[in-house]
Amino acid sequence: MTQLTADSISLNAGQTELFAKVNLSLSPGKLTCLIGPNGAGKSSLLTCLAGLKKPATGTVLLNGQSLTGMTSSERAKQLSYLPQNRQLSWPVSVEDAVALGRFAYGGTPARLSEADRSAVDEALDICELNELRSRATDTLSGGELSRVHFARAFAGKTPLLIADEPLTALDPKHQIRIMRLIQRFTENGGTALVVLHDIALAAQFADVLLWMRFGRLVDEGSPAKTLTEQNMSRVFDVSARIEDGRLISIADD
Amino acid sequence: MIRDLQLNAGLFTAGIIAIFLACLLGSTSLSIADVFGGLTATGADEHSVIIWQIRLPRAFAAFITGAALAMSGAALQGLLRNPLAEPGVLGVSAMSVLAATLVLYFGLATASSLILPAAAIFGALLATVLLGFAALRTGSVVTLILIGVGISSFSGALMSLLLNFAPNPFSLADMVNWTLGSVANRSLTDLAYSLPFIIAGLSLLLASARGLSALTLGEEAAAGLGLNLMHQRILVIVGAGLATGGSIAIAGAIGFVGIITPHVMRPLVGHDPGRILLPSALAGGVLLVSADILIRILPTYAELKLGVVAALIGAPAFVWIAIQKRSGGLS
Repeated sequence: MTQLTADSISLNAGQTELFAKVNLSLSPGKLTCLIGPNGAGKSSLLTCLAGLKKPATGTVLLNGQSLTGMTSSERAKQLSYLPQNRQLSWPVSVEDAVALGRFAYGGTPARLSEADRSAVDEALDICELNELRSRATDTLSGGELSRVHFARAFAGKTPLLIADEPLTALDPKHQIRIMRLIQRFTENGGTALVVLHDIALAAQFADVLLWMRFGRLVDEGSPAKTLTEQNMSRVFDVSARIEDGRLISIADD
Repeated sequence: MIRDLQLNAGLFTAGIIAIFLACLLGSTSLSIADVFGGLTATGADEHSVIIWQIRLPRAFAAFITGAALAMSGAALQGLLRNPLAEPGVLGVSAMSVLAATLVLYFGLATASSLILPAAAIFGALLATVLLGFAALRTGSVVTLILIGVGISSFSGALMSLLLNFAPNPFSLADMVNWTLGSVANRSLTDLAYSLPFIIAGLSLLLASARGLSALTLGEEAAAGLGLNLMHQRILVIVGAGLATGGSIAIAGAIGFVGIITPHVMRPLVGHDPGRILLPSALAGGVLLVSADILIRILPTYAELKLGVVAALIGAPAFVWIAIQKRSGGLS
């Protein structure tokens, strides 16, 4: 079972501390949502957990092995990372964009092995992109494009998925659709860590919520346990009304 | 993919036809049989001389130059994720021409036939390395292109200085000819000195193809896919430096081939920056051989320089591409 653990990691940009003393452990089959205000250090934490940046102190272990010590293709076969920036540089076809998910296996859009091709087909299927497969990506709507990115991640067949604000600029229906994709991934045994800004959606879908503020994790646990008026106030600086584990309203202090 | 294979085979055939036409057409009229006779050295001696000493080297020079510049342009565009990147625009050509002209100015080129290509390649590599460092410091492609414009202008200023100090009209004419860009009067030996560098450069660029495809998703996502960004930058920068420098050692500065050719090829390969490299090289070769044939048969008072014609057609095309540019890339 794939396990990602961070042991007291921290990262600085020059003199500024981005985050510090973060301990966490992601369990297989669980959907973990990282929530916190802008500038809390969520994206920086994700880049370290995804192995793209080496933490200044502490270690990130993937199945007991140091993440920064792995080769980039070893790491990419275990872990898919979806950054915030979803813009494609060239208007490639949906199918070709998804095929890039096979990069670590040596596949390219121009040359796919049998295994690559079936992984791409399966990913297109899961994300309901079959009818769009030959469309140019610059003709897609925001919702379709975000499904392309998830299909790209699923095509890598990695046990771990890390996504940075995948719901930005999506309408409610597409937000739910994407959350269902992630949920399905974890129900099949995958491990997912997702940064979300929509607290209600996070509470609805997450198995575990990680609360982050000023570069520290301040609380973690199930939504039922941690979605409290107190956490909303100390993490987001808002007064929230929560009834039966549901977020009813938010007002500024 | 079968479509890519067809495209490359078609362009390769077009290249052979263009080079054959370049042997056929010219001030001395030859028949098709004369060309075959000349090529196989079974015909009249004068035909052999015309083909092997004049027309074929010139056609090869044009093809190699076009291929090197077009593939360098395509790879730089993929790396910087911007369709306006190109050795000329980024100042790589200007720096290379400057280095080659310096060698000519100080009369060093006569010492060894390797010095001129070496200087041109050194200049090109210097510019690409500068750009590489700039790329590490700035995430903005626009800034990078502006830095290229700066490198280009500064090299141009130093060029003017050299021309200003030219000791006599002959060396002035010599240096000016370089900056205009031409493939006239090249011998197969001239080509042989530059060819190894160009082949090495193009091989590095082809090795970067997979990474260029991955960069379609942006640098962060590409790194997440398992691409080593540093290796990728070095491959493209050194590859484009070697290929551009080698081509400039052959033909001087010929602009815009590296921008127009990939632009035309892009829709034919599904906009994939990895698949575009080989077709761009072949098409760039065909383009320059054809342009050079045109120059030779145009009844102008003085023969037009290839670089001048390329710029006359290329600069307006550059503006057109900039206006047409679809989403993405520019950030």
